[in-house]
Amino acid sequence: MNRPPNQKPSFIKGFFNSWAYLFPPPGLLTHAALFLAIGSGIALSFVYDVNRPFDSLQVLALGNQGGIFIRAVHYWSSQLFLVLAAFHVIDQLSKNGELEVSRGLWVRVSFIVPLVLFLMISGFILKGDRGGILARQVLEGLLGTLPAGGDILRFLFLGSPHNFQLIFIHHVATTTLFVLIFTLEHDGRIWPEWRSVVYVTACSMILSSLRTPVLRPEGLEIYVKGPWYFVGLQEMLHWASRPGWILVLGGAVFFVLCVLPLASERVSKALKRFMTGVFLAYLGMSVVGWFFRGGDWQRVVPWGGP
Amino acid sequence: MPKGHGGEESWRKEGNGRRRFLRWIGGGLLGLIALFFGSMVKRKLYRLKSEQHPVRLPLDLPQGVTFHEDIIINRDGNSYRTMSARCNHLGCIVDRKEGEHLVCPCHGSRYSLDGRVLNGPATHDLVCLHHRINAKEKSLIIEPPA
Repeated sequence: MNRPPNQKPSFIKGFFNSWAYLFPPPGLLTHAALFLAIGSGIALSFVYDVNRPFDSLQVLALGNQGGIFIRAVHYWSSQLFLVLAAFHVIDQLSKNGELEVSRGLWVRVSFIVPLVLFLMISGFILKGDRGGILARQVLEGLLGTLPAGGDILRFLFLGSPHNFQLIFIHHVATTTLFVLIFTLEHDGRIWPEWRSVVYVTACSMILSSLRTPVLRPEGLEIYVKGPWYFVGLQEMLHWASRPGWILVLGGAVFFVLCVLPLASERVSKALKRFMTGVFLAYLGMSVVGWFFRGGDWQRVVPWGGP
Repeated sequence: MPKGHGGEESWRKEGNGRRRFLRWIGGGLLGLIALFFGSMVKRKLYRLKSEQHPVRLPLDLPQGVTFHEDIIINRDGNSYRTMSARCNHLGCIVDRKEGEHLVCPCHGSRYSLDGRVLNGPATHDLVCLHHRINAKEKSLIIEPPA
């Protein structure tokens, strides 16, 4: 633990200096976004039906302006939570924040990353539309590639293939609970800071009134893009005949994150470079998937039309 | 609590012994719970697998490719080829025909109409399913994948 705690690369330093001038720290904003996502999610869970997920959301969309708005706030606060959490991680890693907490706490904090990803994808699956169903099939397939215990893990995470009950329970209870506990523990406070709540709520509401999340019924498209944060993964899977290696890569990044505080300064720098490389490659894949992939999985250029 | 230097030490030793004992008991209990939980999940998985039944479809299906849930039927005259629609890459349901190809919507694997893989990322053909024809009921009975 003898590394200097404040050696930021200049670009990141400049970025977070400007951030501090304009907004509360990303960590506080993430905390506020989590609370807003949980609050709107609780409201939404009253009308959600695990036996008819798509229909229940359609009914909500057709009959109730308030319901549409709450769903949009839930969607946008979750997206903000993900983006802000990513900023928070980059900010903390760039200033060796892993050395400022105990090792046990760091491991628990690291677990937030896969838990949040599962929270996001389970929310996407719970829409029950074409995109959600395909995302579920991909996740089932990915877990199935594990050499041992894949079937059991698939069942533990996703439950029976005939309904959404267990995914719903994990989304609203199990995963949310763990994310909340780990977040509150490392944040050292229960209630979010009021300025962050104002920022995040205002931002979610503005975005919700500008754009409502869409549901895609069966039978419209050949190529269904995953949620924006998993388009990179979808593109990687398109190129991977052995998708198990993608899981290995994800597992390696997670492992590296967990053991960062144990590494010497030189090794830590190398590990952070490795994580940065994976992150940038993932961003690149996301850009390719988002802008250069058209219907029927053909390559297109964004300025070239259909 | 015993007083004095030696007393404190023996008390600490006793405490350590107690803690170690409780740790063993706790670990054993957790192991037992994990064992029960594992067997419960295994049983549920077995039940889910055994719930799969043969699918019955009418014989007068249209010529060419028909998609039915996770099954693809390719009818050519009076002969039927039945395949699992699960893509061999990650198990997505192949439910679209594009020209003379079947395309997986998740990652773009392409198959010929008789299920041979043409383009990756999938590396294996679609799994053929056994079927039989019940002439009396005029139905096609397709067995679930093994």
